Amino acid sequence: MQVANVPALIPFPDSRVGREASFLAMGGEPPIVPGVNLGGSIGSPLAGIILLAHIDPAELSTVLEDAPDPAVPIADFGNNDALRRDFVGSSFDAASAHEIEHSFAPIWRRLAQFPFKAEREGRSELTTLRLAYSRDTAIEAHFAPNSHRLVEYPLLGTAAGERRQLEMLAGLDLLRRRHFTRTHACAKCESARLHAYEACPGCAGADLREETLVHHYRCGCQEIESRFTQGELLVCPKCHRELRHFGVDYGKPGKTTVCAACGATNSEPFVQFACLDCSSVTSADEAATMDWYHYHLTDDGIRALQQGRLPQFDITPLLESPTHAHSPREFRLLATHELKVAARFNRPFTVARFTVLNLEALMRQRGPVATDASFRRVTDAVVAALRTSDFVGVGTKHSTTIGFPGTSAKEFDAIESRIRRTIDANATSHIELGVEVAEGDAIVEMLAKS
Amino acid sequence: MEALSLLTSLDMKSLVLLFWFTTLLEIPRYTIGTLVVPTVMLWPRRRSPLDPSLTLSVVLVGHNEEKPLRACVESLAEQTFASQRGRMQVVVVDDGSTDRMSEIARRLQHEGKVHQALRLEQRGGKSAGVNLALSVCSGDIIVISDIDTTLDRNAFSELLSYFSDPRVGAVSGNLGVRNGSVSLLTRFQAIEYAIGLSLGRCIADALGTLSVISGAFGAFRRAAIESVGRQDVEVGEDADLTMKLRRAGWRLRFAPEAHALTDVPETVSGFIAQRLRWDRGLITVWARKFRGAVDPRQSAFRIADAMTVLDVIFFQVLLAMAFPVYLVWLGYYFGGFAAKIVGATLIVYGALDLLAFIAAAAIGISTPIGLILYLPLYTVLQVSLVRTVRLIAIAQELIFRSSYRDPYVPRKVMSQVEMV
Repeated sequence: MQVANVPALIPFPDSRVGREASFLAMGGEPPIVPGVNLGGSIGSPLAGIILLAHIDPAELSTVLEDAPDPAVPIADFGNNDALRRDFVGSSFDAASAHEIEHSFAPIWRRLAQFPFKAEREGRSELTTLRLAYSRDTAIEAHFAPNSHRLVEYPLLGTAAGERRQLEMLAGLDLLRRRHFTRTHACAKCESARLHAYEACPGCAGADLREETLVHHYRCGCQEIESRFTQGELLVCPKCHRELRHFGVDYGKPGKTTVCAACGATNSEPFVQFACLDCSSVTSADEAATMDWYHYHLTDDGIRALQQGRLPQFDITPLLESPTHAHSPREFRLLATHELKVAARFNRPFTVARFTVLNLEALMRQRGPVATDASFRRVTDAVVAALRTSDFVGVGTKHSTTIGFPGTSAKEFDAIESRIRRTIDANATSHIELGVEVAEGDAIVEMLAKS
Repeated sequence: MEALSLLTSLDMKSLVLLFWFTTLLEIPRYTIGTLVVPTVMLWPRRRSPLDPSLTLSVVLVGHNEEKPLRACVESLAEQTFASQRGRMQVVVVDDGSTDRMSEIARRLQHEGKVHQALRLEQRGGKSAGVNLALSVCSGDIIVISDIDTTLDRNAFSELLSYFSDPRVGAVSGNLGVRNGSVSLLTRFQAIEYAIGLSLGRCIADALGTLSVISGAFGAFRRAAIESVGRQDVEVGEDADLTMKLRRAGWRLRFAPEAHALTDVPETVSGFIAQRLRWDRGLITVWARKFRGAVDPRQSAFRIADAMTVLDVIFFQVLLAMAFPVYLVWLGYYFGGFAAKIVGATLIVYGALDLLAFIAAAAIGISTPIGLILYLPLYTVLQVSLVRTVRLIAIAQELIFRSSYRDPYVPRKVMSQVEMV
C-alpha cells in the first residue's frame, strides 16, 4: 500500500468535510491534481479514499477498520469491481476530481449529520447502517455473475458474512427486508451459478422431446402421436382404423415428454441443475435454496446511528423465563445473543425447528380441539424435559423452534431422540415429526426463512 | 311361522310344484357351490413358487383422486414384494382431473414412489387411461388397481405366485369391504362381497369359469393383455377384458389369498347407480359381445367359455327376469296365499345364504363373524332391491342401450364406440 501525502491546493467549496479532511490514495503514486489534498493517512480523518489501481480487498478492509469513519466514500480508478465504491472513473485528474466532489458532497453532508461513534463490538453493524443512511439508499441486492453466490450488495462490497449481518440487523428491526430473489445451490460446492435444464425422471437425460397424446375414442387406444402417424394419415395402432375427425373420433388430451436416451414417457420432466463451477448435477429437490433481500433502513436503524450503538436489549428476563417459551422476536434476540457468545467463546450453538407433518390428518381424525389439547400436553412435556439454558420459540401452529446453547449439531442427535420419546409417550395419536437442525451461520439462514 | 309350517307340511312333489323357481333354478346353483367348496378345501389347486425373475408394473388410473392417491401409493411400498427393489414400477395416470391429483402424483414421483406420472388434460375414461399406462409399463405382470383400493402386505406376492404357470394370463384379487360397518347398506354389501363375489369367484375358479378379473384389483400377464389389444371402451371394461383373455385361450385364476379392501357406496342412490352400471354390463358383455362363445360351430368354441357365458346369462340375467314372472304366477294362482309362499321362499334363501356364509368362512374368505346377524337383511335386500335393480338395468340395456350413455365413460368417447 502506498499512501500519498500531497498538500491540498484547491479546497472543495461545498463540503465541510472536504475542507477539513484530506484524501487517502491507494494503489500507487498519485498524480498531482490541483485542489485535491491527498495527505490523508491511515487512522486520520478522511474525506475519501481514492483507489488508483487494483486493490486487494483485505488491504482496503484494514484501512477502513482503522478509519475514524469507516463509511468514508471511495472513488475507484482501478476497476475494483468487487469493492464498494461511490465513484468510478478512468483516470484521476482535475476533471474527475470535480466529479468526485459533486458525487461525494451529499454523502459528506449526511455523514456529518451523525458523526460516527461506535464501540468496537457494534462497529461493523453500525457501518452497514451508516452506509445506507449516508448514501440515502436501500442496501440493494444485485446479480453478480462472477460471484459463486450469484448475488451481492455493491453498497457493502464483497465483505464475507455481510448477509448474516444484514439478517441480524433485520432481526433487530433496524433494517426492513424486501424480497429480491431465491437462489439454488449446488449440493457439492454450494455455488449458486447453476444451469437449469429439464431432465428425464428416469435416467436424468436431457435429450427430451415433447409429443402429443392421441386418444382414439372408438377403441380406447391412447398413445403418443407418432405411433398413429402413417405419412399424412393418423391410423390407430390398436384397431388399425383411420382417425378422420378431430374431436369426434379422436382427441388430443395432453402432451408428454419422451426421453431419447431411455424411452421413458412422462407428463412433465424434472428440473436439474448443472453447476457451472464444479460440473456436478443437483436435482431441484436436493438444491438448497437461499432467499436474498433488499434492506431498507428503518427509524430504529436511524436512531441507532444517532446514538452510535446498537439497541441494548435486556435479555435477562427472557433467559430467566420459567416457561422457556418466547415470541418469534424474543427468540431471534436470544438466538442473536447466543450466536455472538458462541462466536466469542468458540462454543457450539444449535437451533432445531420441529414441524408436525401430519397436522391436517390429525385434525381430520381427532378434530381441532382434541388436537390442540394433545399438542399442548406434548409441548409442556417437551419443555419440561429441556435444560434451563435451552429456549423455545413459539412459531406457527405446527412448528416450534428450540435453541440449544452449548450443543453441537452432532450432540443434538441424542436430544432429538429424547424429544421424540417424550412426544411418543405423551401424544394420544402418532405425531409425524420433521426436524430441521442448524448450527453456526446456518442458524441465520433458518431464522431468515421463518 | 306360517311360512315355515307350510314348508314342513309339503311333500317333495308339492314342494317342486309350488316352489319351482327356487327348486329348479336356485337350488341347483347352490348345490354346485356346495359340492365345489369341499373339493376346494380338500384338493386345493397347486401353485408353483414365486418366480423371482418376474417384474411388476402397477397401474393406477384415476379422475379427481387427490385424497386417496398418496395413501394408495405409500401402501404399495408396504408390499412384501416391494422390498425387492427394481422389480416394481408404479405408473399413475391422472385422467383429466380438476383437483390436485396430478400435483400429488408429481410430488410422489419426486419422492421416488411413483416412476411414471402421466397427466391427461381431458378425461377419456378408465380404459383409455389404462391403455396409455400400458404403453409405459415395463413389468412382466401388470397390476391394475383402483386408487381407493388398499392391499394386504402380501397381496402382490400372492397374486404373482399364480403366474409361475405360463398358461395363466390373469389373476383376480380378492376384494373385501373397508367401510362395511358404516351402515346397514354397507354391511349388506360386506356380506355380498364375501359370499356373492369372493365365494362365487372361488367356485368359478375351481370350475374354470371365472368371468371377471376385478378392475379394482387384478393382475395381468403383459403378453396376454397385449395379445388381446389391451382394453376396449366398455362400461364393464374389466369383464370385457376378462372375456377377451378367456377367448384368446389364457387361463384365468382367482387368488383368495390376495386380499384387498375397497369402499362401497354408503347411500342407496349411490348403490343403485353402481349396480345399474354393473348389471347393464351383463347384457353388453356376455349377452351381446361374447354370446358367440356358446356357439359350438365356431372354431374357437370351448366348453369352459360357453359355461362361463351361460352361467352369467342363466343365473344372473334369466333368473332376474324369471323371478317377477314367478311372483305373478303365484299371485294369479294363489291370491293371498302367495304371501306365505314368498315368505317360505325367503326362508329357504336365508338358509342357503347361511350355508354360503359358512362355506366362505370354511375356505378362508375373511368376513367378520358378526355379520351373520345381518344375513336375514341380506336375504331380503337381495331378493327385493338387488333383483329389482337388476331387472331395471337389463330392461334399460335391452331396450334403450343405456350403457352407451353412462357417465362412467365420457359422452364424446362413448358416442364413437361401435354398438354391439
